[in-house]
Amino acid sequence: MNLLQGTLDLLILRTLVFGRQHGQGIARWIQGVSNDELLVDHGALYPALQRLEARGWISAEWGTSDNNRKARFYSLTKLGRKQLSAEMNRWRRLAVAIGNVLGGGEVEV
Amino acid sequence: MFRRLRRQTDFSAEVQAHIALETDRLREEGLDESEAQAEALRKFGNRTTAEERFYESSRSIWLEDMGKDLRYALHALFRTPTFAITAILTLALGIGANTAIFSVAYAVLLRPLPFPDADRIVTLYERLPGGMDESLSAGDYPDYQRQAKSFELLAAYRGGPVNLSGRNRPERVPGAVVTPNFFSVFGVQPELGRTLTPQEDPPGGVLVAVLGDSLWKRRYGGDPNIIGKSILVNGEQRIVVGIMPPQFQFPEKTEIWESSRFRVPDHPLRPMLDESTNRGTHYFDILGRLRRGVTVQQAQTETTLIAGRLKKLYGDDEESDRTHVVNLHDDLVGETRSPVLILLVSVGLLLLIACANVANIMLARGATRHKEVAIRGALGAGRWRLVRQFLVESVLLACTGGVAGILLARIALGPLQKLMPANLIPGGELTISLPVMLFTLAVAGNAGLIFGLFPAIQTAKVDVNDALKEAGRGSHGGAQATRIRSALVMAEVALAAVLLIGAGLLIGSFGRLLSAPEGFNPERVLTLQLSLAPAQYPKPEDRVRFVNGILENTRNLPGVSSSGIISRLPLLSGNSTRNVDIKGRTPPGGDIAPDYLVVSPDYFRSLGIRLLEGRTFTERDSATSATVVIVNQATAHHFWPGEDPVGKYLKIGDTKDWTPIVGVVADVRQHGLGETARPALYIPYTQDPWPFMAVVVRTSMDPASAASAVTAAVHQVDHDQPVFNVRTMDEVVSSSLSPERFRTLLLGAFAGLALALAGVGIYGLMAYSVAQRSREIGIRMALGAKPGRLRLFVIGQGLKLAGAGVLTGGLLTIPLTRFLSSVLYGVRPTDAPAFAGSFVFLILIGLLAAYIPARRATRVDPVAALRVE
Repeated sequence: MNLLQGTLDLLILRTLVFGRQHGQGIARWIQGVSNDELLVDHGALYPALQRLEARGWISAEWGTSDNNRKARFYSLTKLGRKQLSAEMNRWRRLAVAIGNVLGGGEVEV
Repeated sequence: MFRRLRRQTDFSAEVQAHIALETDRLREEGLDESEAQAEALRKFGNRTTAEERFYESSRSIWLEDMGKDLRYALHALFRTPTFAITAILTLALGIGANTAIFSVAYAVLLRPLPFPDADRIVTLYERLPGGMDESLSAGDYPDYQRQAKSFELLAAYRGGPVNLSGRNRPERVPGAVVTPNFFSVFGVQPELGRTLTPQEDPPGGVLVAVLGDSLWKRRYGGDPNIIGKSILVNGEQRIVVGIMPPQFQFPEKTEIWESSRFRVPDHPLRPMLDESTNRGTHYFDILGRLRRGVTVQQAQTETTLIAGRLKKLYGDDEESDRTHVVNLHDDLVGETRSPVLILLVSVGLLLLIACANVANIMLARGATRHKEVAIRGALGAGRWRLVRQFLVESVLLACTGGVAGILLARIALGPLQKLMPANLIPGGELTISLPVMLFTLAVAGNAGLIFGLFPAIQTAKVDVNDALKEAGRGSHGGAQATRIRSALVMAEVALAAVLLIGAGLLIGSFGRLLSAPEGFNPERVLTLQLSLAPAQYPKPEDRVRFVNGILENTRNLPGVSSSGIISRLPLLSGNSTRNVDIKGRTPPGGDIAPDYLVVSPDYFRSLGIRLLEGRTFTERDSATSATVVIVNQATAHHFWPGEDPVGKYLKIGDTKDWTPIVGVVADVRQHGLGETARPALYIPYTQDPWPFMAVVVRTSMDPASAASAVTAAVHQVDHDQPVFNVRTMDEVVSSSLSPERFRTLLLGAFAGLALALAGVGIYGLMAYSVAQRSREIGIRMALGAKPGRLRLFVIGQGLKLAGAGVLTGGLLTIPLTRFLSSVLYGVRPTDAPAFAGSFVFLILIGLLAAYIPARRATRVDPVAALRVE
C-alpha cells in the first residue's frame, strides 16, 4: 500500500520520537512497524526530510551508524514534537470522523 | 524563513550513505553483494529525480509554499469570477481614489522643493498684531541683513508680470525683480551663462535679466547667443546674462528675473524712485538661507529682537515689533494643508468602506468553503498554512485591485488637474510618481490584510471534524460569522455617514458662498487687465490720457452700457492699504489700514455697486481739483459708527491734505466671497493714476461676445499694449471659488461612492441571509405566514443595520467635524440639515437595499425551498 499524500511527514516525525535516526533507518522502521503494509519510497524520503528540516521540525547532523558507516542522523526538535502531537490529534479525529461517515458495521457495496 | 542552504554534495553524500546502509541490510538478509547493491539502488528509485527534488525544495520551503498558495489562490479566484470581479472593482475604486488624492497630497504637501537643502530656506515676515504677516519695509531690510546672524544671507524679491516686446509679438510673462543674492538662497546654478553678481548691485549697475528655460525656448528659440544681447522688458533694455534650468521657477512659475535699480526691488508704482530707505513702504518679500544648525525658532527669536530695536529707533505706532520666520515649503503650502488633509482622510474612509465590503463577500464565500478548508486540514495542512492561504488570496485580490486602481487614478488625474485650483501646487504638476506608487502598494497590501483577516480568522477556527459533519448536513456560516458580517455592514454605514455628513457640510457651505452677497452684480460684465510700462507711461498725465482714451472707446461700443477701471479687481489676490488719520481721533475698534482702490467714475455703475450716500465721482474730480474720497460701509461703521461719514475728513497715507468723503458705497467682497468686507477707500484715478488696472465693461448682451471689440478698443489707444485675463465677471467669481468647488466636488463624489458601497453591503448581506434562510422562510410560508409580514421582517433587518450604522456614524462625526470648521463658510460643523440629510439618505439606501431581497424572500416557493439539498 502506498502512503496517503501528506502522511509521510507525520510518520517521519513519529519515528524520531524514539531518538535520532538516519534516513534508511526511518524507512526501515516505518515498513517494519506497519508489518510491511506501508512502503516508503526511498527517493521521496529525502526531499521530505529536507522539507521537515527547513520547517525546523527536525534537525540533522552527520554521525556514524552501528555498522560504522557515515550517515546523516535526524532528530526531533521541540517545535517538531509540538507539531507531531498536533498532527497526531488531527489524524486520530479525522480517522474517527471518516470511520463514522463510512459506518461501523458491514456495508453492502 | 530563509535558512542556510545545504550543499548539493552533502545531499549526494547522504544518498550514497543510504544506499550503503540499505545494501548492508539486504546482505544481512541473505542477498549477495551485487544483488544487494542492485536491490538498494532499485528501491531508491531515480536518484536524479530525488536530487532535483532536493534542489527545488532546498531553495526555500517558504517560497515553494507561497508559489503553491498563489497558484491555488488564482485557481480559486478563477473558479468564482463574479466574486473576483466584484471584489477587484470595489478595491480598484477605493485604491484608485486613494492613489489620485495621494498624488495631489504628495504634490502639494510632501514633495520637497527642488532645491538643495530646501529645508534651510525660509521666508521672513513682520508679524502684525492680529496675526497677519507683512513683508519688511524697504528701509528695515538692510538692517536685518546687517544684524541678523541666523542667516547665511537674506535676499529680496518682488514678483509681478512684465510685458515683453521687441522682435516678437508683445507677451506678458510672470517675472520678478530680485536682489543679486537671490539665486544664492536656492543654490541653483544657471544652465547657461550666469546669474546676478554683486556688480549688478545698484545703484548705477547695468540692468540685466536672467531667463527661465521655458521662456528662452519659447520666445528665443533656445538660442544660446541670446546671452549678452538686450531685450525689451516693460519697454526698457535689459541685458540677458543667463538661463535658469527648467525646474527653477520661483516665485510661482516665474520666467524672467530682473536686477533691481536700487538696493531693493523696484517699487511697482514708482519704479524710478529710490525707496530703499523708506521705512513705511512694504512691497517685497524676503527669503533667507539659515546657517547650518540654526532653527527657524532661533532665527525668529533673533529677528524679533532686531524688530524691537528698529521700532524703538524709527517706528511709529503701527510698526510691528515682532517677526515671523517660516520654512519656505510650509509658507507655500500655507492654507492648502487642511483641505488636502481632509480629502486624504475622506478617501481613506472610502477605502475602509470598500475593504469592509470585500471582507463581507469574502466571509460569505468563506462560509461556503468550510468543507474545502476542512479537507485540506485533514490532509495535513497546518492552521497557519490555511490562514495564509486566505491572506494570500486577499492580498492577491488587493494587488490586482491596486493595479486597476493605479490605472483608474491615471485616468482621473487629467480631470483632477483641470479641476484643481491653479496655484495649489508649489511648482510642478500631478504625476503618479515613485513615492505615490509605493504608497499605493502599501495601501493595497494593507487593505488586503485588513479585509483578508476576517475570513482568515474564521478559517483558523474551523474545526475539521465539525466542518466535515456540517458539510454533510448542509448548514453554513454559523451565528458568529453572521454577527461579524452584520458588524462590518454597520461599520460601513457608519463610515459612509461620516463622509455624507462631511460632504453635506461642504455642500451647504458652498451653497452659502454662492448665495453670499458679492456687493456687486457680476452678470453681463466683461473684465480685462492692463499694465502700463513705466518707460512708456512715465508721467501721471500719460496714464490719465490712456485711461480716458480706453474708457471713451469702450463706452461707445455697441451693446456696452458703461465702462470703468479699478486698480484691483475684486476677488483677485493682492491688496494695497493706506493708514488713515481721522482728525487725530482713534476709532473705537482700533486703527485699521483700509484697502486703497483707485477707480474711474463709472466703475461703480459698471460693476453694479450701489451708492448709499452722497455722490460718485464725476469728470470734474480731476488731477487739478480738490482731492475727494468715497468709502464703503465697513469704513463708515468702523470709523464713524452711527454717524453719516459724508462730509467728514480723512488724511490718507503720507498725504498732507485733509480729504473730504463725498460718498458711501455698498461693501464689496473684495478679497473673496467667504471674506467679510474690509474697510475700503476709493480714490478717483485722475488723482492717483496707477499703472496697472482692470477694465470693467457692462454689456447688454453676452459679455464674452464683446471681448474682441473691447480688446480692439484698447489697442486703438495703444496697439502695443498687452491685454490679459480677458474674462467675464462670472468667470472671475467662479474661479475665485475653485478651491471650494474642488474639495466640495471631491468630497461629494467620495460620499456618493460611499453611499453606493454601503448600499451594496446591505444588499449583499440581506440577499445572502435570505438565501440562507430560504428553508426557514419556506416553512413559515407553508405554515401560513403572510408574505407582507415576511417582507417587513427582512426590510426591518436591513433598516436595523442601517439605523445602527447611521447612529454610530453620527456620533463618530461630531468630534471629527471640528477639523472641517476651518474650511466651512456660514455653516456650523454641527449643522442639523447636513446630519439629518445624510441620515435620510442612508436610511433610504438601506430601505432600497433590503427591499429587493425582501421581495425575493416572499417569492420563495415553499415546496422548492424545502426540497433544497
